[in-house]
Amino acid sequence: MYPALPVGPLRLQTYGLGLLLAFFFTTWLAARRAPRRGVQADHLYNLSFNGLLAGLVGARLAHGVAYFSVYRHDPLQLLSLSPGALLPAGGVVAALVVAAWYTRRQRLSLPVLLDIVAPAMLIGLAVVNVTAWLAGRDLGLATTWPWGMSLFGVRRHPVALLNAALLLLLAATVLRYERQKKYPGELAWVTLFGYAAVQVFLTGLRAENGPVIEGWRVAQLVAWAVMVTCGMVLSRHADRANRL
Amino acid sequence: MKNPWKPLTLLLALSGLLALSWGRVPVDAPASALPPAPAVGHPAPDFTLPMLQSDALTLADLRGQPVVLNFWASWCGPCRAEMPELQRLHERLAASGVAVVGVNQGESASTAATYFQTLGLDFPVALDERTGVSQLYLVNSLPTTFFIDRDGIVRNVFIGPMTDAVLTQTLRSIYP
Repeated sequence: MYPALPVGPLRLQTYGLGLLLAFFFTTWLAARRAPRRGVQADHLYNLSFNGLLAGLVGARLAHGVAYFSVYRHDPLQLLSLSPGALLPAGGVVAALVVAAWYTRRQRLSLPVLLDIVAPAMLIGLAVVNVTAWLAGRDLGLATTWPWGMSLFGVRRHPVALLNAALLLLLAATVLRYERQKKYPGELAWVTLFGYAAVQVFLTGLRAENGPVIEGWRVAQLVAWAVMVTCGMVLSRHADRANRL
Repeated sequence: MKNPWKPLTLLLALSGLLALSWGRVPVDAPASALPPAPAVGHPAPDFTLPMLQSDALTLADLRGQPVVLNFWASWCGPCRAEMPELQRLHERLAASGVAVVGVNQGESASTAATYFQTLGLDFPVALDERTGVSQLYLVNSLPTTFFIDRDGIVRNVFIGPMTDAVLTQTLRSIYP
């Protein structure tokens, strides 16, 4: 297990490094895919860096709101470099708002952009999961199954590694499917469908439950609902295409 | 051409329902059934170390109290940055039973004492001079802080310096 990697005199957090690597790799991959779909690569770089910046600012401001009682006494903490003082939900909302603004301003097609980014994101998420495994995060439940890996004295499902492998498999499937894609946005729906399906089946193997309602894991319920919704959308589009 | 999405969605939705019921969390699953380990959900490994301010500390003796276990060293800049936050936390919550415990990694008692005197700190500090406890807790980056609940279960591990806001947020895992 390597929660931190020694680089000269520094020790870099493996998971944080993985997130950064995944971000740059996803952007680079998406930028490479863009020109073949009629979008300049620069738009992808602009989108991701503006989104990153907005995401960081939004996540910090959301943290400021959530812990207002602390920041009120010391507002300069809003400028601290601590990566812990971020609320991801705020970051996601801010990044989406900026991305939507940029897309509209540049008159780009959102479905086309999502088709470009979706498979690249799957590969980026696979990178994140490999580093999560290296850092000993995302522990699995105890198991006697042959793929179990011993960590902290317990043989566990290697959830992060399984997630990475399934996401890579899904990325390969989505890229193959791209040849038969019929309408803009289809690839993004297929990707979300596959991603949600992977999470439906993997979440039950996780040691950490996250929020639970009456014993049901909320993450798993949400993934199931997303998977079914995407399946219905894809099915409706396929029916419409068959009628034409 | 047929619509492959209908049967696929139906198949995955039904098998997904099975996965959902299989993934249900057993009520009151005992975390203490896991072996002690410096990982979230496991009982915190027990240790006994000499203290700067008193004879010795055994972690198990703090059972029943939320514990903030902070590994630090005097040469570590980020540790110095978060020390005032830990001191404030100690002053604010010691009376409520929250134990803030520093573990000095690999230094002598006199070095730790001078450091605490210089910074005006007085929360309890254990001396891990031979770094055995640091190794037991797999601490390979300073500062590292473990948040241990009243039952002795690790609820959060934070690597790196904590600001006041981060400390407040992370503390909620053991002292809501």
